[in-house]
Amino acid sequence: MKGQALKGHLDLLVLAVLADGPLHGYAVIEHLRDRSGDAFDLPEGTVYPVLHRLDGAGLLASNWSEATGRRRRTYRLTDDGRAALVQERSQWQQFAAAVTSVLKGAEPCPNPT
Amino acid sequence: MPEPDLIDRYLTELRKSMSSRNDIEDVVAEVEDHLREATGRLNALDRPKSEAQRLTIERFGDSSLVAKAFAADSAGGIVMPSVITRTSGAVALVTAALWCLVATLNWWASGLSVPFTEDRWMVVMWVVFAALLGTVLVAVGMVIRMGRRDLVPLVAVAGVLGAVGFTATAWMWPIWGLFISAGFLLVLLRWRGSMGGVRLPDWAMVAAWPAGLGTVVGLSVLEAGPIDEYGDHPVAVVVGLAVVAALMTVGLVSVGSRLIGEKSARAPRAVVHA
Repeated sequence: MKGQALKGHLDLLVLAVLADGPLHGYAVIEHLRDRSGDAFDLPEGTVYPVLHRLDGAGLLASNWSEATGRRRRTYRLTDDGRAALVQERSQWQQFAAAVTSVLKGAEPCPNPT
Repeated sequence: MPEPDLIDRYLTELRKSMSSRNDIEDVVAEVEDHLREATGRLNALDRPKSEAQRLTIERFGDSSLVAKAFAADSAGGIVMPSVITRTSGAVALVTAALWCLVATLNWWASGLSVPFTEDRWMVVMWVVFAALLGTVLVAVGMVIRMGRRDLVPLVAVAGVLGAVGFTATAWMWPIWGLFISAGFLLVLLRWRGSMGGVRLPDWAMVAAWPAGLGTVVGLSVLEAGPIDEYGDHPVAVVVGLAVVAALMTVGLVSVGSRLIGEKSARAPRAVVHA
């Protein structure tokens, strides 16, 4: 799936990945890739602005630590983030169900033989 | 000759592309951590250093693309209602009542019903000041609700200074009022994407002060009521401020009832296993 198609859903995906526990940026992207079965093909650098915005909005919290001689920023879900995930996931499920329902109706009829 | 460090070069480019950001060093540190981690994993798979760095940078994206993504992503996305935005909704309803009180007290202090006294005028000014502060808090709540926390200091400082200026030079109220209208016009134009968009009654906050000023000018031209010792028409000012209060009330109740009615993001505390 190309980055453009993911636009608008990244917030939800990032929140979902962080629901299991705190992760640093590289691990968030790795989890996104692994859990999607390598389906998400987007420049990894574009995930960081999303992490920063969600952090600024209070949906994530972050802290810095030292790892192998480098500064490392780790993100975790806040209570507001968990609430946002519940809400966004519910909206996504409703949307996906509606789209699936429409697509089912559009399935081509088998050729009469 | 030593191999050039592609990551260092990339970070220099990124730093140049994003030089205006206050948190540039944090962003660069975070990106470096990502790139070195990814390169290290490729090295572990026996990829040469330069190839590992090149592949890692390719996956991360061009530095100008990443800089653009940061610039474009500074606002928007999920912005949830919060205790603050709900509180500002309650403040909006209280402020609407204060504007009604301002209109009533202005009539009481105008000298139309009972003789004018300085004490009465001071009472009006204190209530005006409270109403103005309440209005500023509502604007701050709206700015937070649309996800622009970065604008909060600007709105708060400009609003409080405006409220002090308005109260100290109340004779200039039409000019101060037009600033309030302009402020809410900007906020509402930015607010269109939040909470299902702007509703017609919301615009009453923008229309309030021009409409009030128009009423004062119109009634003064028509020479409605008596003329006071300053050559003004108190009836025109009383009716003009009543128009302002009525329209501010309509707008504040419209915005406030929505802000206060939203479920706070802090309400559901269930742990989610995605």
